[in-house]
Amino acid sequence: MAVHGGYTYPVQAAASLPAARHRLSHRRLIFVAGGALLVGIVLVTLIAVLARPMTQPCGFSCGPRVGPRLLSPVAYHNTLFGYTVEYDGSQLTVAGQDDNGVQLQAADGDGEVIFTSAAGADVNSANQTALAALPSATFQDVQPSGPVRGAEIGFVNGSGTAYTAQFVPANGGQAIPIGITILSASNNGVTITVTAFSAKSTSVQDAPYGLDKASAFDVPVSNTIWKGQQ
Amino acid sequence: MSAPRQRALALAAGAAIGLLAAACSPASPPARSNGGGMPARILGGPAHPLLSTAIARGRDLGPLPAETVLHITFGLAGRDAAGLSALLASGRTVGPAEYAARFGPDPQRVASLRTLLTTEGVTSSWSAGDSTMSASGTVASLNRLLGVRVDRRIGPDGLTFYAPGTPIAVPAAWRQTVNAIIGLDNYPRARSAAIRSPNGVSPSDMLDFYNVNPLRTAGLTGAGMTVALIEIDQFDPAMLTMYAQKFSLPAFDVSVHQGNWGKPAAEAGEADLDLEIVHGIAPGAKLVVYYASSANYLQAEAQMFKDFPQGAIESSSVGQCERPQAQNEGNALNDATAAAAAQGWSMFVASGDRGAYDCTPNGDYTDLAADLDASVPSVTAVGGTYVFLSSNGGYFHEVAWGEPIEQWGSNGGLSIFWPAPAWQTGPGVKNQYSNGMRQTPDISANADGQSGWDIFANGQEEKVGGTSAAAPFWAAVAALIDQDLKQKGLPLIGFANPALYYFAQSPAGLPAPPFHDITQGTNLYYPATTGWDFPTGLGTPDVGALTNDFEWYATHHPAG
Repeated sequence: MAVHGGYTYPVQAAASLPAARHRLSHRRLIFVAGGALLVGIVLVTLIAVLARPMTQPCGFSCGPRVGPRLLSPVAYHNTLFGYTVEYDGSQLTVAGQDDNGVQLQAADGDGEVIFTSAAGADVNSANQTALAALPSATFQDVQPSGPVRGAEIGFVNGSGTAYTAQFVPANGGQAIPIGITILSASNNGVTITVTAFSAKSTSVQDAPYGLDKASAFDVPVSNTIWKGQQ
Repeated sequence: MSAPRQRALALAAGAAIGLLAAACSPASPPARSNGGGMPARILGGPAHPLLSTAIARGRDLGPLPAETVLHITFGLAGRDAAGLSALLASGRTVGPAEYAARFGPDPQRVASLRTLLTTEGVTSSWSAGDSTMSASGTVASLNRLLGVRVDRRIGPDGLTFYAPGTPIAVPAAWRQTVNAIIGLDNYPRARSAAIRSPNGVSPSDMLDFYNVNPLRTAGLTGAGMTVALIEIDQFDPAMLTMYAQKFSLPAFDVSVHQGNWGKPAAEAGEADLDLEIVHGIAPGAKLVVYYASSANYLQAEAQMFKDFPQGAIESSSVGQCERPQAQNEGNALNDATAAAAAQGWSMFVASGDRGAYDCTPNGDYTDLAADLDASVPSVTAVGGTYVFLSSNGGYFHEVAWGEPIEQWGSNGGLSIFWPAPAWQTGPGVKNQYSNGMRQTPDISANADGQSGWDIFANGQEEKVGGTSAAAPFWAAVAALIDQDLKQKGLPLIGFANPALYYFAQSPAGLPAPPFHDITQGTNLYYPATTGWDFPTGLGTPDVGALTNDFEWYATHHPAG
């Protein structure tokens, strides 16, 4: 510690105090010790109060309690690319999964939402690949009906296209009008693509894309947690 | 395309073949179902095309009988519009008498109009200061007065209604007195949207999430405050009772008003939702419902404002999209809400649930549109978020509400009618999309159906979201804060926007930031950004902080 010239407090040597003065009665000793303890408590309290960060008075509160995210009880985790898809197990069940994604099926069988993933950042190419992968014998007369407005996966912006098509059952039954949306988003070198399709709804409430199961499909799309996100 | 991805899709298609085929068989039709956890949507009234579309694509069934009596409303032009705007921007209020004297319609002009109406056999009712005037007359007399022919019609969706063939124009000689004439048709206009799916958040979840608990712990319940609601569908008292029982709330006590402005539709869930959310957050607040038809809800709202001339709190979850043909209704709505705001009303209006495209599904899907009821400058437009609860019961995160596949989301946009008010300023307000017009919403709260509220409606317990849920939440919060302010002898919130935007500018001395700034997600077009944005406005509340701020505003701000 550097020593500076100037004012200093005089220090009295302890040895200068006569020893006899330290001899107190038991009662007096307790009184003095209690007083010292009281002074100590007051000092500690004062220091604690003064050492607090100075903030505005909070009144009702300093703010809500913030904690870790409440996770969905049902989730698919992709170990290859490090993302997680949470979904409502009462609405969707896993129909298949592999290293690259998961296939979730509506509980009543009316449609699916499929997550696939790959390294890269080209969302348009990913969308084209997903479209091309739809088996032409099953998905017939696929017609674009417009861009997916607000396309995002796990709140990462992307792009996508909505389609109408005829779904031809494998048993050769009657073709079913369906709606399809394909959208992709990219984050930190990983692209996730969502292909969703279900029977075409004619209700104006399901406009404009008309996927009967759209509400159920949006849950995992919103609840995709990318690698590194909370 | 990589082999693994191809395999995944092939698997999907393979599985889908059987599943969709089964769905198409007679034993298992592909119709919408509530079974198997399937979420469904409910609307507070049927969705119909826009009136102009219904007329153009429907059939004319001939004139409405001449002796049919119609109840119509005149929107009346006020005086000193600039002075009224300055008053609203200042956050001050005036009493009914002062409002009538300074800003209300010119009594002499109104008297002249009423004399003219009387000569044609049209009765009318008006009190000094009222921004609207109700009138009743036969089709024949209204035809002579206004030069319109009102026909019976059937729309493309089979709905029968009556309406003039073209939008009504105010006669040139009346334009200094009248700026709107509504009620010449009974076509449904307002819609209210609520989105339901299983397992929602409880009132206590939201009390914790938005930091309302400190107020409730302090004994505040909204007692002594009135929350008034326009409802176009009926609530079910049995549902309210079940809600109160489940969440250990006091019994509901709802006053219902019904006039000659039409009847509400059967229970659709909107009225249940609104009442339950207000009661869950502010169980001591008095609840007053004004029932109306979708066609004539503006008349009910005008009456509601008249019934509480000293102000109250409105929660409105009805609306219609802004489009040029709606100028008539917009004028009436703007005058009525401006008068109400000037006299102390706090009005929280749902911004709409179709993202940036409020005319979906009734109109053109591709047009960006704000909501007529939320964009008038004297109300507080309430948008929506998707909330993520924390595992310890508190706040974790929120994002803007926008569902890309379903195409639902928080409405927000630029008004085509109203210039930006003086109070609408602050970080983020002027942005790349701004064009000098009013921007909505102002604030927001939990609305995504995925994180919706646990309510009782339509005979069952269900999860319901929508900005329909966010507006009553904010109305309830206002009731709690008003009770606190009243107990401390401070002025009530009144028209909230000048104070809310002032808080957002972090003025020196502000006790605490009152908003959670939402910076993630979109409303299907506009992104959430730092500061004000189109999906969420200024953000969602930290109600404890907001209460401190309103106390501080009342004592430190010149308008307080």
